[in-house]
Amino acid sequence: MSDIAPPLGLLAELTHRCPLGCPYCSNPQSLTPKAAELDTQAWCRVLSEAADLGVVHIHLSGGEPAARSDLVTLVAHCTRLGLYSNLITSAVGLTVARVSQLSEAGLEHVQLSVQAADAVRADAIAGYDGAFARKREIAAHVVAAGLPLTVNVVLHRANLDQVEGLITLAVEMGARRVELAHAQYYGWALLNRPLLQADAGAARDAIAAAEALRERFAGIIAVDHVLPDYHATYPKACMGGWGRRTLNITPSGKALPCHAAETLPGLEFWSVADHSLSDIWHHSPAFNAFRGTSWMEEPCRSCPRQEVDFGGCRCQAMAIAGRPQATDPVCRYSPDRPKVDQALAREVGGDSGEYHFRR
Amino acid sequence: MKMPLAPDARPRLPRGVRLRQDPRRGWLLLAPETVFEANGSAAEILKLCDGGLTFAEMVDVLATRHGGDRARITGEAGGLLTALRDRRLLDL
Repeated sequence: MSDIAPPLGLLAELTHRCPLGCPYCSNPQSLTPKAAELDTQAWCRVLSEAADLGVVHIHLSGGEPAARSDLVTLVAHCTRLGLYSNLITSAVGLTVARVSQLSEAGLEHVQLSVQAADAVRADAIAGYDGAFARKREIAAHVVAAGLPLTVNVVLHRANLDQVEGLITLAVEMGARRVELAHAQYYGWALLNRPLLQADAGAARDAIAAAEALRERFAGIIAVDHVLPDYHATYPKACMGGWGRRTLNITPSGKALPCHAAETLPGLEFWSVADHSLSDIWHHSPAFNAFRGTSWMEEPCRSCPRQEVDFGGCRCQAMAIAGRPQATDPVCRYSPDRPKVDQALAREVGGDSGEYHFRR
Repeated sequence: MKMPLAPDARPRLPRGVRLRQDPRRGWLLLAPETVFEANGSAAEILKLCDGGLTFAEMVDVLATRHGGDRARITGEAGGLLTALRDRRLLDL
């Protein structure tokens, strides 16, 4: 298996704890309790093994990674190893002093989530009063500390009309980059899909706005846009291909090829408690299950796009088609595409019920 | 509309954007949530982006080191650096 290229990135899900309740949360519906989280020593070992394996980017995520009291220690460990550390945070739980400590420890980038362009909507979506104001305050300190800032927004029915306001807000916050990512329906988000799903017209308008604004804001802020895949013709190249570029470590130490892989039946996931990261990457059954193209069925098997999108997303195939080896049902060539269209037709005109807030 | 790079601009990689020599992959430009493979000439250009040289001086250095036509080097380096500038991955 020596022809398996090493991973570039590792998503370290340090904890599932999070003060916010966002309805589009992509973490699993059942969360890992604090008592089951890896300790500092175990995370440091994982980071060292990641560097040896060839990983260059570490994404410190969660839940809210600031809920971990050892966050500065973990960042400093990344710095010692030459790993590029990226903090993915809601800002709620960070303090001004902690931002300074993280910067001094060598943190290289902060990605901060924002739920909407105004406080009323943003706090309603996050299910947390005062979150928006707190984010702006912490963002100012991130920028003052000299750290590059990306503002990340998940787009869905309740904020899709705010694309320009969100980009302007990100500029005001001092971000160099804004990531507009249309909601994807895994984990908790699947419960809220009927309230999050936007209709095709609204999605098209938002896409057109983002593409036009990317040009207008060139040199001021980079606009990265993750398209809404239910409205797409072809599926996304999920994770850049299974077991090809990145791996995720859950709070309890399970190594996953993607964030939602535990929703796939019959996969055997190895833990960093039992195996080295190199062993997991090269030999664990879960990482080899959908690596490359030999697992594919038709229409992927004979498709010229098979190394463009790698069959799309296995978890979406499971969630919609009921089989993880199926072509991603978003694809126009998938026999299951009507199920996506039916879900859209059923949900986009849906009523305005209450979110299931993540608690 | 892409603005060309002024000859007296001093390109520098900001914090969070760095060049790294990877034992398996050659030169990589590490940036927020993305990695670019920097081929031979791109890496040579990026190594000079520390704010010490103007763009015109960078072109001189590259022309002296590697030979070649100044106009071609200006076009190639300018294309790379303006693309990075427009994505806020390069300060001037």
